Amino acid sequence: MSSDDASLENSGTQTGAFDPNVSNKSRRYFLIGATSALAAVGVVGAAVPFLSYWSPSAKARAAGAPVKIDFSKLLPGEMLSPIQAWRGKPIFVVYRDDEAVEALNEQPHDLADPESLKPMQPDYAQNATRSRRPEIGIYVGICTHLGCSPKYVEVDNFVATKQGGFFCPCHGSRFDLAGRVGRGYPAPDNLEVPPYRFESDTVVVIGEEGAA
Amino acid sequence: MSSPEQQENWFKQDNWFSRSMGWVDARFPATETFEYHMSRYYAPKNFNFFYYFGVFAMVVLVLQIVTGTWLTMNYVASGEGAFASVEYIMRDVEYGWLMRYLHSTGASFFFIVVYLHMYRALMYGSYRGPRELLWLIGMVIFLALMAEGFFWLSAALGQYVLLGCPGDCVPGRSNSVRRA
Repeated sequence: MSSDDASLENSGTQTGAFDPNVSNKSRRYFLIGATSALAAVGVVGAAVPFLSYWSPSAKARAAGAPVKIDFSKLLPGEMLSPIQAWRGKPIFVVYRDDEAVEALNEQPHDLADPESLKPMQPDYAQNATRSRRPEIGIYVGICTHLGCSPKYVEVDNFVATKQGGFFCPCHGSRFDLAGRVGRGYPAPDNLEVPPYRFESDTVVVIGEEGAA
Repeated sequence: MSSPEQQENWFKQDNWFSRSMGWVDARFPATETFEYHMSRYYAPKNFNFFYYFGVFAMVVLVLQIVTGTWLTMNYVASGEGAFASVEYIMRDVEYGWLMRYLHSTGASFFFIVVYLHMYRALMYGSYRGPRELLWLIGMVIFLALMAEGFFWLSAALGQYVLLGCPGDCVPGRSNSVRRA
């Protein structure tokens, strides 16, 4: 600071007399410190809206929000129609009858990843039926080859075993009713299982993890 | 606090700040420039309230640049997309309303502040020699500010014509106006 600031430096002295050679430095440093602290609070406060601006908008959050699917009218052997979307991806909900569940447990046909070792599903769906409930299968309906949407085939998807499943019309990949891809087809992975939980016996919430 | 004798100017002590600034100052006169133009700018002691408006104008300029930059992150500069993108900013983007209001209110206050800045210059003869060039440069900046304001105005009026005017309500323009 230049010498003509001395009057400021003196302003805190008790005598009130002006003496350009005396300076009240502790007062000055307190004021500098207090001003800096307040300025820092201001900068942080001003940064909040500018940083929040970059977070996902309400529209984006709505687009990625969990989706409730009611499958109360679904009968054994059927896939839910019309197909619902979650994050813009089709969600297949299939109701497998007892015979189909049994066939999945036996793994009679040649599968690329029968044990679901690749992480294409949440942990709770890493089982023979790739689902929380054996009879209800929930899969992202996008072929893992080049992203076509496979068709639901109730029976005879696999010639040898007459089992149903999913057939991708683009390049002929075949999946069983648990979304597991057959060996030798172009699709490298099983169909993805989205995170989901059952809200009730007939309503599933896609995109949310939960106990059930 | 420690006694005044022990205290020295923190900025002059040997610490991370003075060492970083020393490194910069050895290569670029940052501290010298800041002191010459800002912290030790030589100014008469009888400055009054009206002399604040220069630095206010600078604050508003920075505010307009920053909020404007942030708004462009979601603004769609097309006849079809502009109105919808502003709706999106106002309703869906986090703090988008604040960003837009800061920008629009800042634009109004930019002119208020600049006019008071010019009023001060006229009242106190800040334009007189040897500062004629300063005044002329200020005039150029003022014209640029008005041009900038006009760009917004034409964009907004264009949207009014496109969206708010289905028929012949704008003289000289008929139904051929492209509708969004």
